[in-house]
Amino acid sequence: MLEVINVSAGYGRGDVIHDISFTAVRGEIYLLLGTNGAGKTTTFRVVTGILPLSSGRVVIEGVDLWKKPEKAKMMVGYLPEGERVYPNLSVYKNLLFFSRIYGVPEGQINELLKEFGLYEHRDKKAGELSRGLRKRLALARALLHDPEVLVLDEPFSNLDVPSVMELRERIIEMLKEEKIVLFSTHILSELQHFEGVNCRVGIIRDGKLILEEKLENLISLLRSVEVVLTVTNKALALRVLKEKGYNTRAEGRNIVVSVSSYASEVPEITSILAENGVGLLQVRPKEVPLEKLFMELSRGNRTHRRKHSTT
Amino acid sequence: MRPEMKALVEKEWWGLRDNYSQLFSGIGMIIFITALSVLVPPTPQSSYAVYHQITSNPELFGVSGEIVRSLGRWVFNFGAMVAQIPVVFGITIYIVIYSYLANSILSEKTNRTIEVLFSTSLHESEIIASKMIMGAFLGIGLVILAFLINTMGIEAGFHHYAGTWWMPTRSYLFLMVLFSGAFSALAFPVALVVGMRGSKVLMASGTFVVFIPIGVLIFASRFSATDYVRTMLLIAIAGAGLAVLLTLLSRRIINRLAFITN
Repeated sequence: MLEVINVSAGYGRGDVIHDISFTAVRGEIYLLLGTNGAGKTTTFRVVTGILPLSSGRVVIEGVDLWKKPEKAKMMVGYLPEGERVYPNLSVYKNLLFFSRIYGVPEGQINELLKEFGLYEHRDKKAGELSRGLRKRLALARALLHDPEVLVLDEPFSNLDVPSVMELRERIIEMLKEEKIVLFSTHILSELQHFEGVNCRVGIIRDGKLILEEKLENLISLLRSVEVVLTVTNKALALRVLKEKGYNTRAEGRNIVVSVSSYASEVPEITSILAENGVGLLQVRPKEVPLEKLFMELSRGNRTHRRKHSTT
Repeated sequence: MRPEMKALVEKEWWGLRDNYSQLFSGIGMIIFITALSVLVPPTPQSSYAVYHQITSNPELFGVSGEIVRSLGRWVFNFGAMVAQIPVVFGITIYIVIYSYLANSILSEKTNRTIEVLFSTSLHESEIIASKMIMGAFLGIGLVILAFLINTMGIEAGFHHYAGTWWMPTRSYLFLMVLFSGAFSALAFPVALVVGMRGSKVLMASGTFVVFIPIGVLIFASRFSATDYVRTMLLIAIAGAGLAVLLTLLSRRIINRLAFITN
């Protein structure tokens, strides 16, 4: 288990992240979502032991990261944003260097290179590789010592579509191996690709974790629909639906009703209106755009805050 | 030395060895300067001035008037190789070590590979120390190479013209080894401060340190050979002292935050 407990940290001129707490368990993705500058990278730098803490603790599998850094860091693999490899060293030497740092037998390097499709490029300088291949090399390096926790900072940025798909599959593969995967993104649409996976999402804004939610719940929240109704008697429809506890509002000649599920609630609304003598001329869903909701959360316009346990 | 530290030093060596331009620019410069000083024909006036300096300063050049006469016009080359070229070597070696160290530190910082290193069990002082060790190897190697090439060049010319071998003087050894050594040492803290704190602009400014001895070198050409050697001795001591002082000060700025760009 990875525990981040009341962590605050910064770069010497005040804290950038404030009192952040979350936990991630084996076989789970913890996805940190936030706009640029929200504090995602700083949080990951703290989790990986790069940036000293102002306060709080980071505990990895029961080991305090700042009390026993050598032991704790052996359990973490880190892929910073971009392709942070040594451009003047060959692909092989990039891995050889880190294999010596982590005490990994040299024999494993070729296996890893083959697994990541880099074997034929092993003697090329890393700087001569395409961006996708460099990212693959950086990921191979992060996985070299078979870490329990993999931390990926904006792993999908600046990657072509096949590389993104491949990386996504690798992340899901790692969950099957009961690893803990942390990754950050500012691309909201990335969420949908992890639907059905054991994944929790933390939304970070101004260095504070403002929302933590199971991905499936968040997606359902994001997909909560507003239904636009065109009726024969708008005033009566508004009144009866309000009486039945629906959140309604008038919008031009139509009524907008918030429902959590289109399939189950629209028939109910239809029958309520029919029972009260209101003719229903048209029903259509009005989906809340993902980006709009995210921006609302990021700007703090919504006060919604739910905390779920890690189990 | 921890195995992780050994791996770091080895990585520095790979980087240096695979980056031929950086390594061979220093070696090439030394060979070029030596070849130039052996082969460039002097004017009668410069030969006369050097002849006068050499005969009146036997403790620096270690030759009698009779031998100097046998050197003919090559006496100018001999004088330059004994008194001036060692100082040029010192400056060249400073530039090579400075550019290697500052580039190495700055590129780790700007490429953010330093973050990956910090995510391992390596300490920042080990990362810096590995670069210093490789810089020291580079400096010692270049000083030895410069000494061997220049001395061999002097011996070849001397034997050709005078028919005998030249015995290197203490002043020559001082200029060749101590002056270069002092300037190599100065390159470390300057590169460390610039590399850690600096931008590319600041990095370029670190090169300007060499203008101090170059300026003195031009100014000191009016001095007698003995005064010239004394002046260079003073510069070497000041360089070594500055190196120690900056090293002590730079210990304060070696902290993790200085490496991490937000």
